[in-house]
Amino acid sequence: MPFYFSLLKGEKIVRGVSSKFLGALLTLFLSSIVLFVLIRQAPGDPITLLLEQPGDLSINDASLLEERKQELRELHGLNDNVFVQYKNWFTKVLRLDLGTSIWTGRSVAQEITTALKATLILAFAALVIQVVLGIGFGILSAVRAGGFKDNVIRLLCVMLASVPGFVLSLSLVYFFAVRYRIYEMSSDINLYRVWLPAMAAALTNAPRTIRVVRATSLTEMGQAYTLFSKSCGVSKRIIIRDIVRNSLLPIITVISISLVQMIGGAIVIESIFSWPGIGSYAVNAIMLHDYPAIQGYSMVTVTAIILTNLMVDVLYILVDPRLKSAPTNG
Amino acid sequence: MKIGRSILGSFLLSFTLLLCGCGLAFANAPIVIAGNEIPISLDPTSYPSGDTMMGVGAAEVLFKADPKGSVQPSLAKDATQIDEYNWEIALRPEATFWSGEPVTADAVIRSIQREGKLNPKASPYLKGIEFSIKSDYVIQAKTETPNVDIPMNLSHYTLVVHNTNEKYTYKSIDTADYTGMYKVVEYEPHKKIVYERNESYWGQKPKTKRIVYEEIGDADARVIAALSGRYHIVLNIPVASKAQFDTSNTSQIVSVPAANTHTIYLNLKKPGLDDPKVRQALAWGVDREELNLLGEEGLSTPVTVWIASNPFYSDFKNMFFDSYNAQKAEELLDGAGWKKAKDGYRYKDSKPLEIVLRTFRTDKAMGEALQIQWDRLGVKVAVRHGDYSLIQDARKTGDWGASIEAWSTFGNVVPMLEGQYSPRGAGNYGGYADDRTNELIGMIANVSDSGERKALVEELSLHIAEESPAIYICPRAQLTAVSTSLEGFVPHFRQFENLVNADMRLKGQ
Repeated sequence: MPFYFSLLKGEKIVRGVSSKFLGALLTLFLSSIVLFVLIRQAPGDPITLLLEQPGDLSINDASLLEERKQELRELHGLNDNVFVQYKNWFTKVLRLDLGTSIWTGRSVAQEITTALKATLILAFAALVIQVVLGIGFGILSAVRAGGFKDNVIRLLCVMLASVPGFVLSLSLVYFFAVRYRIYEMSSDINLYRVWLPAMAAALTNAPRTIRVVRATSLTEMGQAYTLFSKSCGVSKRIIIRDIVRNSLLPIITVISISLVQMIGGAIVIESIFSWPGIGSYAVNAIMLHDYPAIQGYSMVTVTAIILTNLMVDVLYILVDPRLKSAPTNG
Repeated sequence: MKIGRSILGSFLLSFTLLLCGCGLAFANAPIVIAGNEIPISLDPTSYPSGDTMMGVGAAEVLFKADPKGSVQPSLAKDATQIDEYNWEIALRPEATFWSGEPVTADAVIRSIQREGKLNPKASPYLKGIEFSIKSDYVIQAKTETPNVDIPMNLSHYTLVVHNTNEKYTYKSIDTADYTGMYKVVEYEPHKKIVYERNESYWGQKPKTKRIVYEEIGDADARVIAALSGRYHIVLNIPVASKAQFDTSNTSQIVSVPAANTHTIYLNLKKPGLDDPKVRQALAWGVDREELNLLGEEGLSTPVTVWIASNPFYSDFKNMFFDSYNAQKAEELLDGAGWKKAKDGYRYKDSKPLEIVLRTFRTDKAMGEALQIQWDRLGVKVAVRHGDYSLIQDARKTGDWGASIEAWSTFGNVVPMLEGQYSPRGAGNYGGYADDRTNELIGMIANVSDSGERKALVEELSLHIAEESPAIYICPRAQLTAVSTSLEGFVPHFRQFENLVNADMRLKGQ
C-alpha cells in the first residue's frame, strides 16, 4: 500500500511539473510573437541608423545610399513581411541560433552568452551580500523589535530605499575609485572588480529583504511553537534557526524577484561600473534598433524569468513539505 | 544576539579580506586608454577596428592629416600628381608588416581592394579610382574624374594598410598583420586590447613599451575613470563634465574643436523656410556665442560657414554673418512679409511662422537656447528632443522644420560639398537645389591647384551663406582627459586617430 501511495504521489509530481513546463513553453512562444511584432513598431529603421550614423556620412550620394540600404535590408531579411521574418527567425531559434547582429555582424547567441556570464557573476555576488545582510539584519531587527538597534536598522532601510540606485552607485564609485582609489575602474570581469557593483546592487535590494525577514520573523516569534520552545528553555540559536526556516518562503520570493531583476540587467549599475553585462548589451541593442540582438535579449530574459519561477516553485516544495501534497493544478 | 553579531562579523571580515586582495595597480602601469568602444574584430573592414588601431599607432594609412589639417605622407613616402587623372604614390622600401613581410605596391593594392570589397564605409573613397603597380614600391592611381585628391582619400581610417595573405584572417591576434609601431598581444572583443612595441618597426620606435586600451561605454563612468587616475587618456568626455576636472590634480581636459560643424538644417519645403530672406534672417538672429556657451560650455569657436571647422579652411569662420544682429533679422523678416502681431509672433496671410526643431543626444540645451533666440524674433519654435531614429522618421514624413546635427568636414572636399548641397546629396535634408551652387561645385571638381580650390570653396561658402539652406553654429568640442603624469600628448582635431605618438611616455619613465 505505501508503495502504491508513493507511486501516486510521484505521478502527481510528474504531472505537476509537466504541466508547469508546458505552460512555460506556451508563455515563451506567445512572448516571442508579441515581442517580435512590438520591436518592429518602434519608429526608426536599423539599416538607416547603421548607414547614417550622425557625423559620419560616408556615402554622400543619396541614391547610392538608398541602394546600399536596400542591399543590407535584403541581407538581413528585413524586406520580407513580418510573418515570414518571424518564421525564419523562429526556425533558427529552434536550432538555438538567435541570428546575427545587424550592427556587429556577430552571432547574437555568442554575444549574449558572454554578456550573460558577466551578469550572472554580478547577480550571484549581489545576491549573496543581499541574503547575508537581509537575514542578518532582519533577524536582529526582529529580535530587538522596538529597541535602539531595530530603530537604527529600520531608519537605514528607509534611507537606502529612498536613494535612487544610480545615486548610490555613483557615490560608491566616486568614494572608492576617485577619492580613496581602492576600486579599480576598468571593463574587466573579475572578483577584484565585482565587489563594488555587487555591493551597490545588494544595498539597493537589501532594505526590502530586511523588512520582509523582520516582518515574517516577528510573525513566527508570536507563534505558539516559538513561545513553547522558549518556555522549555530551548537555546536562542535553535529558536532563531526554526524561525528562519519557517520564514523561508517569503524570503525566497523576495530573493527570486531580485534575481530576475538582476538577470534582466541591472542597466544602471552595469553602465556606471562599466560591467559588460546583459543590461549594457540590451541598451546598446535598443539604441541601435538591432532587432536580432533585442529579440535575443528578450527571449533570454523571458526564459530566465520562467526558469526562476520554476526553480522557486521547486524550492517551495523542498522547503515546505506540506506543499508536496497540495493539489497540483498548475 | 550572538547569531546576528557573528553573521555581521563574518560579513565584515570577508569584505575586509576582499578589499585587501584588490590590486592597487595605478602607478607604474603602461599607458592606459579608455574609449567608448573597443572593436568586435581585429579586421579593419569591421568598424571601428581601423580607426582604433590607427589611433594607437598599430595600423597606418598611406597619408595622414597633421594637426593643422594638411595631409602629409605617413606609410607612403610621397605622392605626385602627374596630370588631372593620374597620380603616383611612392612607398617606403624599409617598411614592413609585423610579420616582417615587405609593404610592396602589390600588398598595398590588395589591402585597398579588400577594404573596397568588404567595407561599405571605404568604398566612397575608392569610387572611380583604379590602382595599378608601376614598380615594386610605386603605385599608379588613375581617376575617372579629374583632380581627385588621392592623398586625402587615402588618409581615411577605413584604408589602413593590412596584410591580405591567406593566412591572415584577422580572427585572432595571431592572424592579424599590420604595419604600425605597436602590435596586438592581447585582445578581448568589446573589452580590451593590449599592445606592445613593435621592435622591428620601420620608423621612430615609441618610448612606451605597452599600451592598454579598454572600453568604458558609459560617459559618466569614463569621467570617473579619468578622475580615478588609473587611465592616462580618456576619450569622449562629455562637455558638461568639464568642470569636474578644474580642480583635479590627476587629469586635465584637452579640448580641440573637431572637424565637425554643428548645423541647423532647415526644411526648405516648409512655409517661410522656402524664402532665402527668412532663412538669412534666422541666421542673423542666431547668437552663436550663446549657443556655444550653452551647448559646448564655451569650449568651441563660432563659425558661420560649414567647412570652417576644417582647420584648412578655418580662416572662413566669420564669413558673411560677422555678428549676431537681431535687428537685421527683424528687418529681413519684415521685408519678407512676416509681420509681428500683438502676441509677439510673426504672421503672413494669417499663418504663423513656426518651426518644429528636432534635436537628439546632447543637443537639447542648444535647441532650447535657439528656441528662445528665435522667439525674440517672433518665430514660434517647438523643440522635440529624442532618439536620432525619430529625426530620420520625421524627415520621411516631413514633420520637421529644423534639426541640429554635426557632420564631418574633413575629407575630400568635392564629395563632401555635394553631400551637403547637391540635390542628390545624402546630407541635403532640406532639399536645397541651386544652379549657381552646382556650378561652383563643378568648378571646384575641375581645379588641380589647392590655392585655386580654396578660393572657389570660399566663393561657394559665401553664396551658401546668402542662401542659408542651413545655419552653422560652431564645431563640436572634442574633449579628452589626459593624465597629468603623461608627457607628449598632442591635441588633434581627429583625436580618435591620433591618440598615441612615438614620443609619448609616463613621467619618470
